[in-house]
Amino acid sequence: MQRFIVIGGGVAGHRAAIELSRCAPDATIDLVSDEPGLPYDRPPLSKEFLQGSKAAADIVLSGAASYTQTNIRHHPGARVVAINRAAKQIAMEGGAALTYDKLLIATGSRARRLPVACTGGVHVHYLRTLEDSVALRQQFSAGRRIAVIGGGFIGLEVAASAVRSGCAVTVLETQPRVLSRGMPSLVSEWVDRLHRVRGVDIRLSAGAFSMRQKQSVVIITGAAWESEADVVVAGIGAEPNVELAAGAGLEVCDGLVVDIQCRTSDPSIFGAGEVTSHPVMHGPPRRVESWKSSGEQGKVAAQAMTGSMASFDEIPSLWSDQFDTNIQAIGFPDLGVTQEILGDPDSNSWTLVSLGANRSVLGGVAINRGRDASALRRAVKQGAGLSFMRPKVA
Amino acid sequence: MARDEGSSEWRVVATLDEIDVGQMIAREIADVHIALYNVDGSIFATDNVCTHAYALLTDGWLDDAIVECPLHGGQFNVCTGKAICTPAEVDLKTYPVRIVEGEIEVLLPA
Repeated sequence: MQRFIVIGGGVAGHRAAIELSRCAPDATIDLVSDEPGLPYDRPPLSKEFLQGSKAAADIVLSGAASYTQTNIRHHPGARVVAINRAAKQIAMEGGAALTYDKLLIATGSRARRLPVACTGGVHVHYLRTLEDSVALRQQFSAGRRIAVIGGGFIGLEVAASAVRSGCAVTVLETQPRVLSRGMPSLVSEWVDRLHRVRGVDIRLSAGAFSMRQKQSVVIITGAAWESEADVVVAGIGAEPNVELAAGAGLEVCDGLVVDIQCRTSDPSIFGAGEVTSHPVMHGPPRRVESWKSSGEQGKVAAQAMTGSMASFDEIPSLWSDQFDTNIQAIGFPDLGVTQEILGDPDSNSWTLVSLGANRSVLGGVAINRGRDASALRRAVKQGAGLSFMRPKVA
Repeated sequence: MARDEGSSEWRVVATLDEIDVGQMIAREIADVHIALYNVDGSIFATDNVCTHAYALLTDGWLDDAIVECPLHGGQFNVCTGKAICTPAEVDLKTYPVRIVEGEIEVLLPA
């Protein structure tokens, strides 16, 4: 009987386990996660769950509640301390070991921490897990002052959720614009306005700052400014959880290096999800921080582990919901040499299309224009030109 | 899922010439959002609200029998209602359809 082990209970690990179960119903599948409880959906943690409109039971990933009816053995709250490739075993905290024929590393990423030199020991919230979101949610109430460090997607979603809860929100961003990583500046400017008109105080080029606690208030001091907050939350990026893979001597370059079939440098070990650095359609291999990509990659990894020739060629795709706005970034919007705009960027519905040197669509950002997001996905995949994006009039 | 005709009724929702091949249209019948699709000349009807988050599927993209949600890119097979691409995981409700003298009738809860 084949023995599969999946390390990591995020969307990649979960989807891999479900797919393994489907492809190999007679195998044993051990899904080992260091988080308590069943695998859950992370996108709502900065949105509906944080705003209180969804409960923990509402965000359990589909199929997770019925593991016991399958050949998946779920080990919640279990930490893997080492991978022994020679013995094909994983060592668990507490001394137990499990043996595998094929192993999947889907350990995901963690929220990057602010240096202590910056926080001065002040309690800073981060947002990655259900537990993090529960803790932050308890801090939201009308009139509370929330300082959000980092104007990326997570920071801005937290800001929008805090405003919805009646909080007074300040966003501190070291770069001269929000969404500086991967998003074209036109999108940054538009999202900046979206937040400011709803009362978010955005401070750009905030530079270095330090924090100190003064009774219940946190004082944040920059070069030429000072800000007070009741709660501080930081969203300054993610770091891949590569330590297990690196400790086992697998090739790691920023992320765990895998090929399009999710294989690592060890033929018995596969990787999926945010921990991986994998080939993409354009540009060098990269880590992709995307819920959708992670799930799809987990599924492909499971197929590869059970001997099929599946390959992962999903186009990077992420969404962000802030206030009443839906933003979808598709493909490689940052790699284009020219940009075309569909619709009016002064309205609340427009699309930026990024074109390569040969005028093919490399990616884009659709703001409240879901149909354009669908078109972008197809145009990037086909290497089509801008004409593909012009609407087929219904 | 089809209901038995005792608790449902056939309702005229559109005429056949209103939906070209490869197109979809939205209808709201007694507070129920219905999407009608023309797949290669055959008409199908489903709920128009995505099962993942609130969005009308007819604002999305139709490729043959696959509709893609405008909000987060979830996909459904409009003939069967089956969710086929994340984040959509719950199937879409489908409704029986019949064509009577050029009019599209959908079997809806009475």
